[in-house]
Amino acid sequence: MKLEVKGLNFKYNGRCILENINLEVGEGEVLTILGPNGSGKTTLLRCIAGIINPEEGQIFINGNKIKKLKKEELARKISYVPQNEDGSFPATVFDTVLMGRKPYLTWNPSNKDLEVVSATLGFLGLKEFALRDFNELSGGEKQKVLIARAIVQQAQIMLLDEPTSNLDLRHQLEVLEIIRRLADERGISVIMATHDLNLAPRYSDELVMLKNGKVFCLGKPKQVITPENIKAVYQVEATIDNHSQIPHIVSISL
Amino acid sequence: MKDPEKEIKIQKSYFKFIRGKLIFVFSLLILLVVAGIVAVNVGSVSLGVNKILSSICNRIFFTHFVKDELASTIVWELRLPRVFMAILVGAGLAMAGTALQGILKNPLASPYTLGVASAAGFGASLAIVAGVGLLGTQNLLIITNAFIFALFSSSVVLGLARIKGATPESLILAGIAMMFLFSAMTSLLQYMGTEEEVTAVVFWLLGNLSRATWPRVGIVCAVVFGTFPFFMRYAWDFNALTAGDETAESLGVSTVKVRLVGLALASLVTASAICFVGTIGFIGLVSPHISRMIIGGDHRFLFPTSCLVGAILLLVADTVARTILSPVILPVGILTSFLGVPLFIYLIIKSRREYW
Repeated sequence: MKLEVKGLNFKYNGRCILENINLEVGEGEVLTILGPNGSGKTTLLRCIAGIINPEEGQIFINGNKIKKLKKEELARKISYVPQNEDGSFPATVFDTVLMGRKPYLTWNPSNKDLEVVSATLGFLGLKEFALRDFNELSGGEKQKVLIARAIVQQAQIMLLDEPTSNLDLRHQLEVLEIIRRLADERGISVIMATHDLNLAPRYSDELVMLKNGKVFCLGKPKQVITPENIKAVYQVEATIDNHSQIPHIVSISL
Repeated sequence: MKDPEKEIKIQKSYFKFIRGKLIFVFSLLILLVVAGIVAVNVGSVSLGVNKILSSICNRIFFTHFVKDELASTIVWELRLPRVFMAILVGAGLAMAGTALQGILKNPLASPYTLGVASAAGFGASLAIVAGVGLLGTQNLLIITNAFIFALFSSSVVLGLARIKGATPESLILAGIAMMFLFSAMTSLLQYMGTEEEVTAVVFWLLGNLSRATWPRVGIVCAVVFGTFPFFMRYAWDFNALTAGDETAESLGVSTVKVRLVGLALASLVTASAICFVGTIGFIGLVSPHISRMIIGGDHRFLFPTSCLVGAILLLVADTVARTILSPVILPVGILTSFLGVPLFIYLIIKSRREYW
């Protein structure tokens, strides 16, 4: 499915958080949002997820306004993995993932619901954890469970807010690999926010850099990850190795 | 990547896991029935199961074998209403407590968090001390006052939440504010009341089941069974709420709606229960915790389990309160803590997993 964001503005207490945002993600594409803390990445994701309502601007899925969709219908089209989840109640991994079927569930989960959950746990290599408590898992495993929950939502658009923060190297790669596979194999359109300027280009089709709530630059990794852009957005001097296909930041200094 | 056999295995173990919970719920139900029969049996006159059953059958089927007027009166007019009241109030408070803890995402939340108890206490004190109220005379006045003020307090909190946003923090703070306001007003009334009036107020605040009558049981029954389907119907929404507001919203749950409607209904249950029996503490706080420790946080099973645990706790507490210092009958509100705390602490020590 194709997602378009047109002329999005969002104000909070009179302060402009997002200003005239225009974006587009096609089927099976991964778009990564970069930008310093407070540049509006999370707010943008929350607007797209329908959690908060922008003052102005429209978001379209295949040309249809998402404002017109009911909450439940929207939940079948867009899944969202928040950055911090304060899950406090005891719940098994299976139950946590099953919650992703909420938009389809009647009271008792159907066989299909259970099948989708089991298959997804298998897909992510989480079978052994099925009946373990979510709270007992490590950070990396938790993140995978939350992604599993978004997968069983069977939405064609997936939003992730800093999916690799707080993860060790191996889990960072694993999580990004999963995201890439979802896009390639299942045609899911992905929008994620991250701080990782080196991993982002490797797994993304397009990058967008936000600065103070505005789109500073948008394009292929090579067009976005440049010393000039990084200087302007992050106020950091960076040297970039452009020899391979993917730009790589070699050194940074203030 | 796909491995059908393994997937079926996961599903099978999940079914087993669910069946375990169902079996536990049914065992609690049986335990409740047994506790109920024991509770009807014991007291200053011990009747024996035969007499109890025959007097129950006589009334229901209008048969006339073994007629025992005394037994019949004791069972029907004294013990049964009291037993049913204990079961219904216990279940209602536990249900409201479960709902509040889920909605507010706070382990310290109880049915009284929105100031319902102190408001009801103030309403009752107003009737006892000043004889002022909105409806009825004396006894009825206490009930209607308690009920109306309880609902008033939660309405104020919910009204504030509608204006300022229904976040758990704002709801809890507003509830605490109401609690202090009504406690202060109750203290003022107690300060001005005569000794007898103050005693009556304190007695009411402790909570006791001695005033249970069939019509009152009927009202509480209607409210508890009327609201239970809502909580069951929205069990998944409650589950989603506990995963955080953002997640719940992205799963298609209207968090504000579920919060406000859930709180309104929980307050209604609480108000209708405590207006008849006083502010019985502890049940509404501890029953959800006990249930969560045993069967986990899935509200589909948590609501029924919690109701049964609450019902059993209050029933046992009241039976002990009636018999332990016989012929003196202690207010059950005192006993709920005495019996509940050891059980609670035992479970905290025993439960291996982190349950909150």
